[in-house]
Amino acid sequence: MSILVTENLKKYYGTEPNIVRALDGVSLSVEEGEFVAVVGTSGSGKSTLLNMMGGLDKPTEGEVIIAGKKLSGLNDERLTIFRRRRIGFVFQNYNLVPILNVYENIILPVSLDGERPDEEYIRQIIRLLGIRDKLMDMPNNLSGGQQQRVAIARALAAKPAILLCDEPTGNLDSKTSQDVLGLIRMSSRQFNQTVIMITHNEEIAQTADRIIRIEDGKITESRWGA
Amino acid sequence: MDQRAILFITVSAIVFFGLLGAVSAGIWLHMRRKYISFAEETCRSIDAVLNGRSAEELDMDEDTLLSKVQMKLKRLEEITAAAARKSEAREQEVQEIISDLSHQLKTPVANIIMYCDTAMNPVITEEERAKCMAVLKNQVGKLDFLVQAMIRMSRLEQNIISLHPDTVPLRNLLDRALQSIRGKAAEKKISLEILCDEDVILLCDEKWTAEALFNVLDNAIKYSPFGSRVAVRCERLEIYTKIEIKDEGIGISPEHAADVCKRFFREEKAAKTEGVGIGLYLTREILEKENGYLKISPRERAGTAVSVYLLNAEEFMNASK
Repeated sequence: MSILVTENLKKYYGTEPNIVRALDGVSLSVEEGEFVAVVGTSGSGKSTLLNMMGGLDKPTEGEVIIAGKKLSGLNDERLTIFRRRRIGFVFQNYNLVPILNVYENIILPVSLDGERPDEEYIRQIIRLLGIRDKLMDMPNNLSGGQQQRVAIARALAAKPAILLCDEPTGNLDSKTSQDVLGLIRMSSRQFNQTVIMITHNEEIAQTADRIIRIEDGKITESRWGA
Repeated sequence: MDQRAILFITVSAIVFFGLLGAVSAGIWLHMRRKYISFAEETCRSIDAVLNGRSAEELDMDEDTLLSKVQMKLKRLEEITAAAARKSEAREQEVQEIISDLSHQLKTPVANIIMYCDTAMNPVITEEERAKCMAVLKNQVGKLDFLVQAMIRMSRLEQNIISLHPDTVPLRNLLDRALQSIRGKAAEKKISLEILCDEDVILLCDEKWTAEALFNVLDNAIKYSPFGSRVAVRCERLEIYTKIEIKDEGIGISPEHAADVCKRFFREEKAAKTEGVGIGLYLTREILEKENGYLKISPRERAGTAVSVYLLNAEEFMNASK
């Protein structure tokens, strides 16, 4: 079963003749439990694609369908709730809330949903990501790699079905990148999640199950990776 | 006067309690109705899931209790469905293994039968018979190799041997893996260059991880020319330790980097070298089972670099303290 499908997705900015085609007819489908890397140079439209998939931006044309549900059929409020419950985001610049400590940051999406965090599960994530002794620290006192691990824990906390990662290792050195990548792989496997990761780094893409290459808003290649 | 006052108080008390009773009864009825309708809605949602109409009938994006319950139901449905699909895929896989196996075994068995017949023919010369015997020996060897490989694979596939990750010094792992490879390397005059800080402690299953490393090293030696060099470098990261094995062999074409971990996949250019195509497949299975991972950097004409990532024990121990 495909958990995420895009149908002829288009995103245009501006009007003719100065139109910019950020995405120009992207159709793809991602199977449940897959680890997919989307690669492309900067300006190829890969971040736009991820934003569409996560419902952070609306396409000019085409459709994003997640778990059988069309995102265009949802109003803003519903979309927000859908996102909160279904999708976990990991960004390049971590986006942690600076005035909350590590633990509060991790359980933020769960508490926003008015729910008591599943303590056992959260503890499992924290242990897996190796941030157990950092829980009371403020994000600013952590290294980049540690902050990204907190961001991953936060993305996993609400048990989302899909994890969308936008250059998760973009701000990290090569050593830490390899760590973070392994952790994303490990947690997605343990918690049965689908991962879509954007990167411009070929080395990093090589660890994915499938590599989708995007150039000038179009998919140029889609093949199974290591 | 007194009586009137008493009457008044009594009447108003009756009216008050009567009203209070009515109001509480009203509230009770209202709550009961809400409660029943919530239960009914929940039942209806469960029915929708059971009938496979969850996508159309459940509303999972509202900030209400019902919507939250529906969302959880939907997730439950998805997880159950995923588990069912997984076991189906597993069955399919077993079927494929069986058909792959019989296919792989067919050629050597056919050759053995043929050469046996020839060798038993009384009219051929001794020289011809010796030739046949040599071929037979070679084919039986191939059969043995296949059977050994398959036994290992099937044991791992069926999870009969579950991995038991424990703290293992990198030194032990490398010793185990290198010990069985040194002879082969010496045969081809390949120099092994090892650059590792052996004091690192890893979290893995010693026996199977050594096997995984051996498979990678074995490939490196097998597909490298006479007199070349194989380098093993370890780098300790914060969570993982990377063990990179680099050779100067025939390399992997970038378009096949994806396929080399598949069972029984072999590149055309590898046909000259003996093998069945399960080494890297097994390696990846073993690593995934102990939360490590494998990275292959295809560098055609410049050899191959395979990196094995294993969890550092200390980091994990500290974290789970």
